[in-house]
This record gives sequence, C-alpha cells and structure tokens, in this order.
Amino acid sequence: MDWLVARLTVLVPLWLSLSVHEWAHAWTANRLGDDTARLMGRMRVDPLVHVDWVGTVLLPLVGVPIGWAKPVPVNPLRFRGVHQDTGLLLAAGAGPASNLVLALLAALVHRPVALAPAHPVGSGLLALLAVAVPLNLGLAAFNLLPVPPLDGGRIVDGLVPYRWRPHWARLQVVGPFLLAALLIGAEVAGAGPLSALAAASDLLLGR
Amino acid sequence: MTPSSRRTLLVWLALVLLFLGAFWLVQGEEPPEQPWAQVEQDIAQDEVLGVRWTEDMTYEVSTRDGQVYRSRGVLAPEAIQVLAERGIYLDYDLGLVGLAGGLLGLLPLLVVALVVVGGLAWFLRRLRAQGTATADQMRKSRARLLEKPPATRFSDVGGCDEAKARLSDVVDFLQHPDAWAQAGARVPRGILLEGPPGSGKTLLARAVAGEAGVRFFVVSGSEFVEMFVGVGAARVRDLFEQASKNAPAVIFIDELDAIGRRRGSGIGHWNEEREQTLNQILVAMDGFEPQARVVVIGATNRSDILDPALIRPGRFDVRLRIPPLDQAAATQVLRIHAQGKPLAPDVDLAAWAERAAGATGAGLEQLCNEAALLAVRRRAERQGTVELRAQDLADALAALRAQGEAFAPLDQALVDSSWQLSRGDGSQQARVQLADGTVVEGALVWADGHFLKLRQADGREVAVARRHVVRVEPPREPA
Ligand SMILES: Nc1ncnc2c1ncn2[C@@H]1O[C@H](COP(=O)(O)OP(=O)(O)O)[C@@H](O)[C@H]1O
Ligand SMILES: [Mg+2]
Repeated sequence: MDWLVARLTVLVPLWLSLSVHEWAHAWTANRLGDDTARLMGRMRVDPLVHVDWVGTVLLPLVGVPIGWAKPVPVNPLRFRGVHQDTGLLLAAGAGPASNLVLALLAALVHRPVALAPAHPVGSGLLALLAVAVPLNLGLAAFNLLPVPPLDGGRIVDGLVPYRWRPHWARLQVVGPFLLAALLIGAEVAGAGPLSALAAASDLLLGR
Repeated sequence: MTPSSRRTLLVWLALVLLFLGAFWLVQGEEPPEQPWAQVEQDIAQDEVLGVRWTEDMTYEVSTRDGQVYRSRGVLAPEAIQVLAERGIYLDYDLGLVGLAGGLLGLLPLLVVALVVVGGLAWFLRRLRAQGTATADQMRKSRARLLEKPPATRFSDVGGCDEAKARLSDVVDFLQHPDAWAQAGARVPRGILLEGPPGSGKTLLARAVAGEAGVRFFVVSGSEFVEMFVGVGAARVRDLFEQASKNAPAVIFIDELDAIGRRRGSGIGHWNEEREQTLNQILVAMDGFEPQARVVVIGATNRSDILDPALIRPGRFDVRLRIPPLDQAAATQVLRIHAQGKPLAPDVDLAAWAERAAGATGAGLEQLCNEAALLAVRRRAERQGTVELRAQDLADALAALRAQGEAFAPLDQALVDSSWQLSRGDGSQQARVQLADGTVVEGALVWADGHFLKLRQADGREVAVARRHVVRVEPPREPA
C-alpha cells in the first residue's frame, strides 16, 4: 500500500502533465490545418482520452521507469499554408514545449505561495507544484531525445536532409530498442544530466 | 460548459484530490520531527548516515544509532561540504527523475532489458523471414515513379469507349483545374476501374497520365501485404506524399481489392495491417485540397467485395466497368498490336477478332506477339521473308487456347471465391506445370492476375508467373 501511495504522488502530476502534452500536439496540428486529432476527441486536457492503460498506468505503477501515452495522430497531408515537414516539426515540438511552459508556470506559482504560512490544503497543493517542476523538465528533456518514437525523433524527421533519409528511416525501425538501450545506459551513465535537471528545478523553485 | 469539458474538469479535480490524499498519507507516516539544532549537532558529531531532501526546506536524517527523523531548516553549504567529505551526499527525492537507484531499482531494468533483447530477437527473425528486405525498403513505398509522363495515349487502347469518354474529364481536370474550380464541379478525384485481369485497366490509367502529360505512380495492392502492422500505412503515406510533391500526377493502385476488401471480415494480424493500410488510403484521399492536381485510379477485378467506405463520395466515386471486348473493339485492339508487324496481305484482322472472341485485350496482345515469334522462327522455311501469316495466327491462337483451358478451372475458382486476390488459407492444393517442364506443387497461398504463390511441402514459398504456366490442376481438397 505504501509504495502505491508514494507512486501516486508522482503519477498524478504525471498524468496531468501528459494530458497537457498530448493536448499541445493536437492543438498545434489543428492550428496548422489537421483536424484529425480534434475530430478524434484528442484536443482536450482530459487524461482519460490520452491514457494508454499499459504505458501510462500499468508500467509506471509497477515501477518500470518508462512510459508513454496514446500518441496523437497527425496527418501532414492536411496541413495548410505550411510545409509538411515544418508542420510535423511544429506539431511534434509542441508537446515538450508545453511541458517547459508547465514547469515555468508551476515554479512561478510555487515561489510566492511557498513563503505563505502553511495550511494543510495549501501544503498539499504546494507539493503538487514542487513535483510538477522537475517532472515537466524531465518530460520535456526525455521527449526531446532524438530517438524516433519520441517527439525529438519526429523533430529530427523534419530536419534530416533528403540524402540521409534512407539511413534515418532505417534507424526509425529500431528506434524503440535504441530508446530502451538508451534508458538503460542513462541509468548507468546519466547521473550527470539528471543532476543537472535536479539543479535546474532547484533553481526554479528557489532552493 | 460542454459536457466534455465538464468531464475534463471533474477528472482533474478527482486526480488532484487523489494526489492530496496520497500526499497526506505519505505525510502521516513520516518520522518524528526534531528541531533543526539536532541536525546541526548530529552533523558536528559525525552521527549522520544519510540526509534526504523530501520537501521544501525539509530533510530526513538517518543516524548511526538507527534513528530517522525529520527536520525543517536550511542546510548550509558548509554542512553539505562537511557531509560530502565523509562520503554522504544529499539524496533528492525527485520521484520520477529519482536519483536513488538502489539495487531494487535495477530489477525493473532487468525486466526491460529482457523485453528488449527478446523483442530484438523476434524482430531480427521477422526480418530474416522477410528475406532481404531492409528497413527503409519496407517503409518506403515501392511505387514506381516514371521519369517522364508515359507515352501511352487513348489511341493505344482499343474499345473501352465509355471509359475513355469519362476519363477524358479526368485528363481535362488535370490540365485545367481552374476551370473545374470555377464551375464548382466535383473533381473526379478517385476512379475505380473494374474488369477482369488483362482487360486494359493499367493501360487506361497510364493513358490518362500520358494524355494529360503528368507523372504516373504505379503501386500494387499486393505489395502492401505481408508487412508489419503499420508499414503498409506508412507506405501509403509515402506514396501520397511523393505524388503531392510531384503534382500534377496520377496514382495507380492496382489490385485494390488486396487491401480494399470489406473491413471486419476475418481476424488477426493480417487484417489489422490491411485495415490500417486501407484507413491510410482513405485518410490520404480525404486530405487532398479540392484543387490538388492528384488523381487516384484504382483497379479491381471485383468491386462487390470492396469496402463500402472506399466508394463513398470524395473517394473512388467514379466507377468504370470495362466490358468484354465486342468484335469491333477486338479488331481495334488487334490493329493496335499488329501495328509495326509485317502482316501478310491476306490476313483479315476483323475475322481473327471474331475467332478469338472472348479474349481479353492482354490475350489479343499475346496472340499478336506469339504469332510474330512464330513468324520469326519460320523465316527459314519461308525463304527469309518475315511475315505474319494466317498460319502463324492460327497456331498462336491454338497454343493460347490450350493454355487458357488449363487455366479455366483455376480461373473460375479465382473469380468465384472470396479468397481471390488475398492470401489463401492454404487448404487449396494446386499442381502447376511450367513452360520449361518444371512442376510446382503445393498449397495456394496467393493468387492474382499476375502470379500464383504456392507453399511447397518443405515450407518454401514459390511464386510462379502466370504467363509461364502451361497447366494447372484444379484445386482439390487436401487428402
Ligand atoms: N483495350 C486494350 N487495347 C489495347 N491493348 C490492350 C487492351 N487491353 C489490354 N491490352 C494489352 O494487354 C496488356 C495488359 O493489360 P493491362 O492494362 O495490364 O490489364 P489489367 O490492368 O486490366 O490487368 C496491355 O499492356 C496491353 O498491351
Ligand atoms: Mg494490370
């Protein structure tokens, strides 16, 4: 029970942040002319429409350090007034960008409130914000990894020169495995970037 | 407030409450609180084993005598320095980003590693089974883009007058989209050509591109099969992207029924893949701007098994049946294919059209070609003259007839059964004799207008081009 409760204090902010993240993809695509996601009901910040029961709930609950939400479909053929590659890049980048904005907003609210005298509800909400800052920084950083199934990979999609596309496409197929390998590697070698993240969130939270 | 945004709000509220509840539970179990002075004293006396940041200005301290307590205050940089010198580092409890790995933390990683290794092995095996296919080959559409607009014209197509008339509209749209936009006429975006194999569907599509002077993309529905889920869809996406970039263009999807069959029939991996591919075609066709100069022409032997979604307005909404050749049309086709061949003066093509009644355009083309081959072979007997004589045509026709009859039972089965242009379930056995004498025997796993694929007893799959086939035993139930 204890571990479940402890997990929930991270998972709940994660679910909320992920729904904003997916909403940002859908919203941007819609602005660019592709209403596919909107028509599928994905242009909402409702966690229930974005949840992937395995990737968002089951795996994080049992403590596997990877997860994913249901990806928002983007149809570049429907983009208007923007090059398809550019559009894909913007739509993909919107997700991590939204997490950065969330981290900043949470920090902005957290700082003044943290100085106010403690109140039970207040300190709970404060804790929510305190978790949200590093979490969203982490989400943005993680999703920006230039590995195919992640948003970073899709950003690279739009940037790869034509000549290199075949090689990139080859990489894409093994992307998920590459990503998993990267995660395992990061756990071993990644203390540097992770502590940089921790430092950044400390800075934002004024510690 | 709409019901859906009310639901969103409720979900957020519920989740925030869940968080608060969990937070308080965690709080409740927390170790006793001590004044900050205790922390400073313990550090000074080297009593500290570990310090963990839990919350704003709050630390959990464990000491050598096994106690854990909580304290609120500010850990001075000097104190952190002192701790660091003793090898004690501040432990951030950052949840997801958690730095505390611990031995237990490696356990899920082990699971992940196993999944990765297993997945990779499975993936490589699939890749091997695919033969030489590499990743980018698989994803890229195998559509063949011709360098230049094809040279084919409507005049190269015999008969099919009604189809040609309707297709002239398409040509006109490709050349003058503005006029169509002005008139507000619905663009002939998707055309479905229906007719038996060899009736000239590909030829007509090619002629449309040729007449309009636009690029021509050919892809066959059967090329989308036997792929990972999602790859077929990626190929469709790639194909339409390429065509959009090269607009004006004609996309020709041959054997549309291989992917476009009614959805929801059958289950399993193969169907999932086909549905995704089909959906992608629908999405791509819906995604065109009204003035986008891309036209999609599909070809099928049977439209009755096509998914209804494919023939809705805006998709393949123009359906053209290619009727069997009548005598006039057949004569025309013969004339087209006899062109450039030295025809003996006594050969009356109209009469031969009558004799070859029932043949498709492809059959007539083959007839002319076989006859020409015979004429070349027989030039010695004819004192060096190369000339297509009645005798050559007669022998060629007889040879083709024999071949056609050998096909007849199988053809009938192909046309009748719903497994046409799809993967057979392997229960249909066939014995195929090829022109060079080879005999191939096995379960029929694929059949379409161009080739048969048989799975031999040893599990190997062989594809046989139909034009090399001289005899096929009608399918029989496995013994
Ligand atoms: N109506 C026709 N007029 C002239 N040639 C034809 C005609 N129909 C078929 N052919 C010949 O048969 C060949 C194969 O026809 P094709 O268009 O591939 O048939 P389908 O696509 O219907 O299977 C063509 O390349 C052409 O030489
Ligand atoms: Mg054809």
